[in-house]
Amino acid sequence: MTASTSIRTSESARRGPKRRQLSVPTLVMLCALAIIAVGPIVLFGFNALKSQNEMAQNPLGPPPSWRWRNFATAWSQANMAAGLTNSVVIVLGTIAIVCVVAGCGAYALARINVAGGTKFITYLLVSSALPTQMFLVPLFYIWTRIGLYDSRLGLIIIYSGLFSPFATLLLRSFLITLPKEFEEAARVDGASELSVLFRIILPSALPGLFTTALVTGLSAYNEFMFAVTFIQNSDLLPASTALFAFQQGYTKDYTLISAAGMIMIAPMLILFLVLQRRFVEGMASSGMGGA
Amino acid sequence: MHPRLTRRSLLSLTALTGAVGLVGCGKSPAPPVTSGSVASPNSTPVQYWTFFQDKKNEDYFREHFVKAYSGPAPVEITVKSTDTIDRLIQTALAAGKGPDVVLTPGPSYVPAYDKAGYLAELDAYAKKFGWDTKFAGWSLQASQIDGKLISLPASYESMAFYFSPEVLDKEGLKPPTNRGEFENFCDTALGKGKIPLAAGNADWKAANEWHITVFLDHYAGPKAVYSALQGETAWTDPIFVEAISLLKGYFQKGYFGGSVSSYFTNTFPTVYKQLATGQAFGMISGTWEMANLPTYFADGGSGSGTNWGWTTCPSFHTDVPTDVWDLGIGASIALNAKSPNLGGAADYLNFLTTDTKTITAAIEAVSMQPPPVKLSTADFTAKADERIRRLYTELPKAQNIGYTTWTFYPQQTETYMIQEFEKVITNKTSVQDYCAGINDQFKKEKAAGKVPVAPKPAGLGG
Amino acid sequence: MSAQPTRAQSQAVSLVRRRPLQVRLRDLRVSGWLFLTPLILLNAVVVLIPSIESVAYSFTDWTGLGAATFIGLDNYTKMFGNSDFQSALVHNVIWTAFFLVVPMTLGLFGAYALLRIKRFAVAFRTIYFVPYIVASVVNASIWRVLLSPDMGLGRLLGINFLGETRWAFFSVMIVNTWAWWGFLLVMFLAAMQSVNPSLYEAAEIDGASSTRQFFSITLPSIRPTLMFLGLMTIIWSFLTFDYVYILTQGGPAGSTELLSTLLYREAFTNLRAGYASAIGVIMALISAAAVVSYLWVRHAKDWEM
Repeated sequence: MTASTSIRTSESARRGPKRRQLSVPTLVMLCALAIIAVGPIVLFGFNALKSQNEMAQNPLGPPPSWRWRNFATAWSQANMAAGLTNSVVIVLGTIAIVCVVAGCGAYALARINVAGGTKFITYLLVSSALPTQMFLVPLFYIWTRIGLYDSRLGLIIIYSGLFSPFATLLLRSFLITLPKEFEEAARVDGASELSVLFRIILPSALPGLFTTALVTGLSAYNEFMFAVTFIQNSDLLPASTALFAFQQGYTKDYTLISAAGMIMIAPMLILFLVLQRRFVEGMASSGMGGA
Repeated sequence: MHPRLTRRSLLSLTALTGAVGLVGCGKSPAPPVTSGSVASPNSTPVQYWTFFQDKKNEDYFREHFVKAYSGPAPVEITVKSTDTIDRLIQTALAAGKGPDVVLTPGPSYVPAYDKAGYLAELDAYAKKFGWDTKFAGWSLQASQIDGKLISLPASYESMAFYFSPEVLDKEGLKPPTNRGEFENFCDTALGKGKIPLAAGNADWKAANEWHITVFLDHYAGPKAVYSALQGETAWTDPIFVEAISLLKGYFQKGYFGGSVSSYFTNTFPTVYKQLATGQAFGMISGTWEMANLPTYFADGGSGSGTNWGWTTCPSFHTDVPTDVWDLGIGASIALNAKSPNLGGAADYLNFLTTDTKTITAAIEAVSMQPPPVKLSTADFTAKADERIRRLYTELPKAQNIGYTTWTFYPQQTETYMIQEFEKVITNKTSVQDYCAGINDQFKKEKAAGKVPVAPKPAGLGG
Repeated sequence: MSAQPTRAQSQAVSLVRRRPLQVRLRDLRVSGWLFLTPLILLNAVVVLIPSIESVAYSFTDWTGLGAATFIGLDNYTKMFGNSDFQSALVHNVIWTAFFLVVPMTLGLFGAYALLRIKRFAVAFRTIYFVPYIVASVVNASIWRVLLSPDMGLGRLLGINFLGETRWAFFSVMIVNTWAWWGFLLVMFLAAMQSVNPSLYEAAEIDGASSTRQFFSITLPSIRPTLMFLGLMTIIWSFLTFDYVYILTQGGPAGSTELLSTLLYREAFTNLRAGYASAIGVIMALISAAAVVSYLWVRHAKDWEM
């Protein structure tokens, strides 16, 4: 057995320090943290199922009966159908553009070693550190001049611009960890750059791309300040804005607001619960961690 | 966050915003209208951006102010959220788009819109439609900039002292009319473990200015305020310092909302509920509340079993009469200079603001806030709510008027007053410094000609 | 990470077209920029140009409506002397310091603890991650009720968390920490899981306690992640806006005012867009300084990213 194989065996057998029974205080702390982490959201779910009177009497406890009707009311009053549809369109559009743009960019920075690459990375970092409110108004002027105001495409482009720098850096740190041997072999054999990109890099970069897509999608779904400024037609509002408007709007019925909020976060929660292993593995192999 | 807007009856605002619509790109701009000329209407549909208090008001408005309108152009409305409507309109205007009829937070904000060139002049339309005779003179004057009419007052209002007659009767109290009675009223409430005045600014930071308005007008008095607005008295004058100190003292005693920290977190539903259930004995707020209160009282079937009543705010100084009506314009509407259907917009504007039949019907049905057009008791039917009819027949005859900060003060001064007030009641700023700041801000804006025209304090006459 | 070639890679190797290697590599360094074009274009339109315009506006008295007049450095001098700005800046510094310590520590220790559990580690990790997934709009709504004095914890403990000037700032920081630390934990955990276990084995043999192992093995091994997330924490905590905006809007009495909320209010409520732009410029400079320091340290100490 070679040295590398034996390491691999122990890797799969055990990760990290030797496992042993956790001390009770640590376990208690972990459980407490879990309750704190998820408790408020569970409570939110409870409130979504109460009637207003029940909520006034018992705001911290479970619902006495499950008023599923709240969800139906919230769905129509908060216009969640349009909100979710628009969110899907915007999120998918953003993911598509960002993956392509960040993919190309990351490839250039990780593999091709472009001249001035490090300076550009610095620029990307700084660019993602700018306060977004600062350029909200000038951006608005530009958008109306080129006719992208009040359109989902306009918002998609904005999100793509906002989230690409981080996505590029993320993807780049992932690409760096990929072994170079096969690309170099392919180049030596004369394969064109594009072939190298599509036949070799892309398949092994899929986990990283997937992670990037998830992170970008999450950011796009939750964002609300730009959404509320750049889309004025109530038929085109994404879910975050629809919820916010509902919350500030006609009713201060907190049970309905809770129901609407649950509707909004449900898709992302389910998505992440199902995909969280892939997501974490993506982050793990991204090379942002590691020795 | 914009002062005033939420608390105006939202319905009234929307009622007044006529939409002359900019529907989207691709419409060729209308030929520029020179001042003094009236554009003839065309049939381009009118887009209108507005907001409502609740679904009932929205539905009523659509039925009676949109569908029922039979002018040269059809009207289409888009409903926005109160918090964002101003910003959305401003940014849309800045980009050369936006609704044709522009809803603004009030006369102190219009100059900024006007200076940016967004608004069309209305003098020619005033002549055509005879607005001079239909609106109360003071309201048109306050809407002028450099002698030109730039906006129309969309609604007008005053400050009131609200209470529940049943609750007060049970406690053996009456609404206070002077300072002594007021302090007794509040102390009694505190003694019984109740809240003297339901109040809170969690939903609307600018609620601060309602109380500032009342104390400036009812302690320092209308004459002093008028003099300061003309630039003749400084805001650092002892009378104003005393007024604010008094208000601060009351806040810190817990008269407003029960405690200073509660005031910061009380939402409007909480405030109304407290008043309806007798947890609070009174509430100082604007007359726009008359549209909001019913849902929480017996009228709205909330089961609270109590009704609401109102009277004018008490006087806090022996020199100030007990029947001072603080005047306010809830919102102003203007016309978008770049509208492709200026004539049609003006026609709708006229309908919204001067069609007394529709307006009084709306007052009766949903407590809509009317614009300051001349209404008499005869305009109301027997079905009218007595409390509201009393308001709109007594207010125009007021003998003593006060000045609300959102109508007669310039915009930066008003903003300063609202925002710094919180530091005063939490002892982070002294009252002297606060007044000195107001004075500095006001002097600058007065010099720049940004102070709206105020009527003399001696009453409105007929 | 697998060292075995995938089928795809093996197949790709068989593609052949003749070109001298050196020439192609040299071309690449320049033509590689082609791949960066979409990114540059997007960034220029959405970020760069508006930011430059914003810098220009910071030297004017622009209200946000209509034309702007040049006033030189007036906005800046006014800003630095303004007590609201000063206190907001102080709040930001405290906020960032808090976030560098509390969520990071929680994340590190939580990750390390989870590292050593056999079962339920995945369940715990998922639970901790949930607040990060939920939109800030929703989270703020949840906590607004939880902390209110009428319902929730506020009533239970008799404290008006968001209404009292001495509690408000701390409360908002806690809420934002609650939402953020799960993300850090997941990232740290992933990093820790790729640490070479033989290092731990050696330490075990030497009799080192798990705490000792943490400080001498785990932390140094995940330093790149630690540094990167530290930088991200600094940047994102400096720019934080949503929670304060929704929970307190900078109140009460400015006790929770941050530079971002101050900027927003000046631009959209007070109609002082030029002044707000100046605030934005200062914020950008501070963030940029943080980034550059990070990069310089990384370069000076020759650490991999």
